[in-house]
Amino acid sequence: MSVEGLTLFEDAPPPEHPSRHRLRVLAEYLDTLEPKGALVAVSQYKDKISLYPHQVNAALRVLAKMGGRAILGDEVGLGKTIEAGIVLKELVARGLAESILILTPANLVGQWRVELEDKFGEAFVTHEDADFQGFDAHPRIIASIDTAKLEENAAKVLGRDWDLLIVDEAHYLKSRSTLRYELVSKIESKYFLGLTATPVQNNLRELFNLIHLVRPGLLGSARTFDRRFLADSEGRRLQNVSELQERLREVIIRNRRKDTGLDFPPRMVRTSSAVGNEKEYELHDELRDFISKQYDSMGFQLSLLLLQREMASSPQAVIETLKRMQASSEIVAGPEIDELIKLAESMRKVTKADLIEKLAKGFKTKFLVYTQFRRTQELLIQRFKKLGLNAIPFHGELSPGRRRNAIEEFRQSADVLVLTDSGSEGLNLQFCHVVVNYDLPWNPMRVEQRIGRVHRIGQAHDVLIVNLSLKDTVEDYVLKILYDKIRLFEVAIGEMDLILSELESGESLEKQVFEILAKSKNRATQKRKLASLKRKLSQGVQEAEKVKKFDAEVFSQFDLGTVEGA
Amino acid sequence: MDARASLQRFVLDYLDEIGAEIRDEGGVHAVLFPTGFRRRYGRERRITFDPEKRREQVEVIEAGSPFLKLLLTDAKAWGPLSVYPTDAYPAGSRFYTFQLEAYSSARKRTRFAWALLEWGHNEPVVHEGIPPVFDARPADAARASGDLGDLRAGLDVVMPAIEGMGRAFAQEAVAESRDAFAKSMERVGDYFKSLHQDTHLEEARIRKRLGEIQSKLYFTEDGLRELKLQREQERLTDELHALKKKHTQAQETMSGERVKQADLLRRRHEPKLRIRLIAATICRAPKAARPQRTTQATLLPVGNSDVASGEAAAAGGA
Repeated sequence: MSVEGLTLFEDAPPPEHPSRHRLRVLAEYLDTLEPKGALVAVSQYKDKISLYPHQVNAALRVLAKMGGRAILGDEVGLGKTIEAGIVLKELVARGLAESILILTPANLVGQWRVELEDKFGEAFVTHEDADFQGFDAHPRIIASIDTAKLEENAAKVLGRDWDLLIVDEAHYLKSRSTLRYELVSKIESKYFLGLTATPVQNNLRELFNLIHLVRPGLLGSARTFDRRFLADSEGRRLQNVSELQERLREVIIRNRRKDTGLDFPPRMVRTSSAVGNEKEYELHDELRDFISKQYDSMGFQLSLLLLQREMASSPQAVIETLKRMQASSEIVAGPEIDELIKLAESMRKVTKADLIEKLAKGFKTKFLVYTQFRRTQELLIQRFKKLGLNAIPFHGELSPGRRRNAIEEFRQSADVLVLTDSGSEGLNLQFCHVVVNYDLPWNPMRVEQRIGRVHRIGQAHDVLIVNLSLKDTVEDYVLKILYDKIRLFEVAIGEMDLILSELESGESLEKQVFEILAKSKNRATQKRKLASLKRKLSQGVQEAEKVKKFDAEVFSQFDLGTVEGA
Repeated sequence: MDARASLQRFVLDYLDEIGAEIRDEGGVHAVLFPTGFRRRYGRERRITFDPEKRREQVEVIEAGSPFLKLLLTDAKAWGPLSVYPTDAYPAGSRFYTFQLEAYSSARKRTRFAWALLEWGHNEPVVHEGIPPVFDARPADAARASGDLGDLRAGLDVVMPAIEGMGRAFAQEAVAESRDAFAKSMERVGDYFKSLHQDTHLEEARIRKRLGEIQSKLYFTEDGLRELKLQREQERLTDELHALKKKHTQAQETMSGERVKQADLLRRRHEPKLRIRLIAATICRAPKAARPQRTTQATLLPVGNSDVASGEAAAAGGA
């Protein structure tokens, strides 16, 4: 038998106002009443999502035990977004949340919109939409936190009341001296959810800062937190762990994979490279020179970036962009473009397409093929059909109904689904376990999103990832040197963001690679610059490892999960 | 106590306490929060206690509703000790409110209890529930200091009675745990028994075959067949030997494993009783009334209230 609370006298609090004292006693009593119902809105989305007990428990705990204000700190891949979606849907269904603001890193804005719309049937506008009219003009907004913090936007964000505020990747709020923290701490919202797989990254004061946003005062002041819970001045070791756990349980949910039994099968990666033909290398060289020349005279242009990426995909994709450039007044290089188009049109053999045909014959199961370009997609569909395979195209221009049909046909009877990246976010394709990257985006998050379509909860097989490249080309280099370095294809779902955030550079990796390629006058400079980028990436990987280790060490001392018996 | 009525009384009293403005619009209450509480609760909320009035932007206050949870959490951060104005008991009487939690392996049971130590009495009286004096708002809101040493000393007097009540309350959990433990042990016993049986069956099969061989060897006159039977006999004898060895090892492992399992189950099914003191209160005469006896309670100066001090007050002590 344990007896608690006798220390009330040791702490010697002053006598309370009678009315407040009475309310305290009533609150203790009323807090033990069991809620009557479970989730009221679950019937609206249960057919679209495979719900797991830890997710439902997390949402129930947020709603019933945490007052709708919590940090969802599950380990990566356990569905924090789903948990947030359940809470959001529940608050909406109960009529409690009308104005909702979701702040995320810029690269996740689209993904959040798709997930909420497809899985929960909740529509949002994003700051990237053409008809976005400002932070004071829409009831439900998903926006990049860095856009929201801009002075002109911050005033509008703070000028209104929000029912629900969700901050994804909430570890970006680790430091109180940042504009992000300042913005979020000033937003008035009834309900608040912060999502992060790594609530602490460098020291435990970050945990204090984060909790302070959710429940100011729960951990005392910064100074009392230091005194009571930190065992060293660097803030890396804890004391009074059980007391801290009790308090954290009021605001943090942290499910671990080992407790949920939802570990992911391994990923196996294979790279198939082939030596291209003379014409292909000629087209590569000519295009590289053209891009470099244009970059010198006009600086960064999206069309040049596109062309650079299309080089690695197919002549068909290149031709289309060249023709568009020819028609526009942006680039004045008519004769050169004509030559390039002629060269591309004269190519009869596409080595990578031949390579994928060979591979396709060897697959004994359904597989996905990703390309970034519609023209390449058409080429691949033709090739697969010639092989007698039932190949289904999937791209962003399909209507929602046709998308559903395409996925259903792939699930039921087709052999291969050829997808472009646009429109494929949020798909659940875990019934398939082979992914072929016909060409590779230079944005690693996009690559991870591709793999994430099949390597997710519910996948029963080892996942095979096949990457294709033409030897001695830029993509070959990016694939082997950069992507291998950040272990892009092997890291667990969700970890890529952590690695990339450690790069701490204002530019995306994609743009950095492009600029190196376009600015380098010769191969030697190009290699030197790419090697320097590789070093930065290595540091990013090491930093991310350190963060993961520290976070795991801290949270191994707590039990904050929602899994029974964990 | 009717839960819905209690909830309503608590919420309205709480909102009044923090200085929120409440407008009753036919069963729906529009609540406007004072500035210091807006980051915590928002600027305005609309609430109702009647589930039939559930609609957009109106939160039904019932067990489990998020807003109620916020209020409960904040109220629980307020002080556990108080000098309380009441006519119900003589000034100087003390009462202690406890939460009893009995855990079996299957469920948790919660009960509230309170012990009254009336002025001049040495024997506490214990009751279930929470003190009825808290049913209504206090006769006056003045904050007073009191002899907390006296309050502390009274706790030692009431604890044995409360522990006795706790033990009686936990009996059900103890019985439930005992049954669950017995059932689990029965399952463990069955499991190990079946492992033993498997080994014995295998041993019996080999012994039977050895008997058959022995009998055949006795009658056979065919040299080649005799040789074959001898070889099989040797093989089976080796197998039996190995099986016995394995059996002995398995016995040792199983017995260790069984002890471990039993220990694990015992811990899992161990019933627990937790007694939490949630409030200690000393009575004083209401401000307007003449005190019945002299107590050490002294009223603090007017203006000491921190009702309007906003968030710090709500989160204070959390």
